[in-house]
Amino acid sequence: MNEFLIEGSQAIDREELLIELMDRYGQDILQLVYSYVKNHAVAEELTQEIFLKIYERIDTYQQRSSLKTWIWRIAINHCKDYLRSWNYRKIVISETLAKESVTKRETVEAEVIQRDEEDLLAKEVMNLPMKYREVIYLHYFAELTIKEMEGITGVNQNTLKTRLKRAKEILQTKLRGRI
Amino acid sequence: MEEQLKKLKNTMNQTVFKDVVFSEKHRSNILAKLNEKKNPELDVLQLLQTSKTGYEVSQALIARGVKNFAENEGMLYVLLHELEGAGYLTSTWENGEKYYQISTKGKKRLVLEEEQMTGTSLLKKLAEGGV
Repeated sequence: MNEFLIEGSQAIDREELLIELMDRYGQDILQLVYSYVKNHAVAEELTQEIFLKIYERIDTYQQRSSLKTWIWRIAINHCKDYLRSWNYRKIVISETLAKESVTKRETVEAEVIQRDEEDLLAKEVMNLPMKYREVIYLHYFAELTIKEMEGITGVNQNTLKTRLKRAKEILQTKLRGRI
Repeated sequence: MEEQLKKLKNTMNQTVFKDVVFSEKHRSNILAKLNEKKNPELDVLQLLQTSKTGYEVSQALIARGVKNFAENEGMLYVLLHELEGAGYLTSTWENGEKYYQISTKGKKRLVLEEEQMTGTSLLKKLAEGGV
């Protein structure tokens, strides 16, 4: 038995690394994916595929960008590929966020008004078209700088700034008089 | 607006992401998928650095958590045969049992594959919790 453990030690290095990366980034990636696909089951499935992709490609990581940037880029590309795919276009996702928020609001009706306003903002962010939701999420939720966002999305900084501005305008219109 | 957006992280964690939790279940599902996909050849080559019968290899694979052949031992013998045919293994007969062992060619391949697996110093650093 001992012999097997010793002989196996080299082979599990990459697996150990994957476990480490899941501990460190699992939660971030699942949320990131959910912000794109807005469906629990799909988000879990894609997150699984993303970590397997990371495992397969880990030796191609060149340290030209930070590990986080590298991982997030893989995750975002995977989400976008999925959203473009035939699968997604054919099967219309039924689990809309609006529905979730309504039930949530019913259950927490008694909570202070402040909470209600926050719910509304979160809901409207999730209802933004993808390119605007993406910038709001990366900038305000993930707290990335415009430069980091450029590295992760491959979209240039000026475009990102324009999108952020536009995204805020849309949110402002939607929430006018309510926040 | 800016003020509210600055609180977005907190807000979303309490609302949209309330049930979005990366759990132990997700972790073990990913590891299980990984094991299904993994190529068992490398394990076989590693194990045969000391000579073994096919049965001993199958037991050792199970001990390692390689489940590819757990329900289909026949496929293991096919693999051993292929690896032998390709020159990665040699075999000898002792007391009516066939013993397999890695060949020089097999050792070279093993070294190459292990380098790919453990490869860069970065991987080691990460595995040790650096970076």
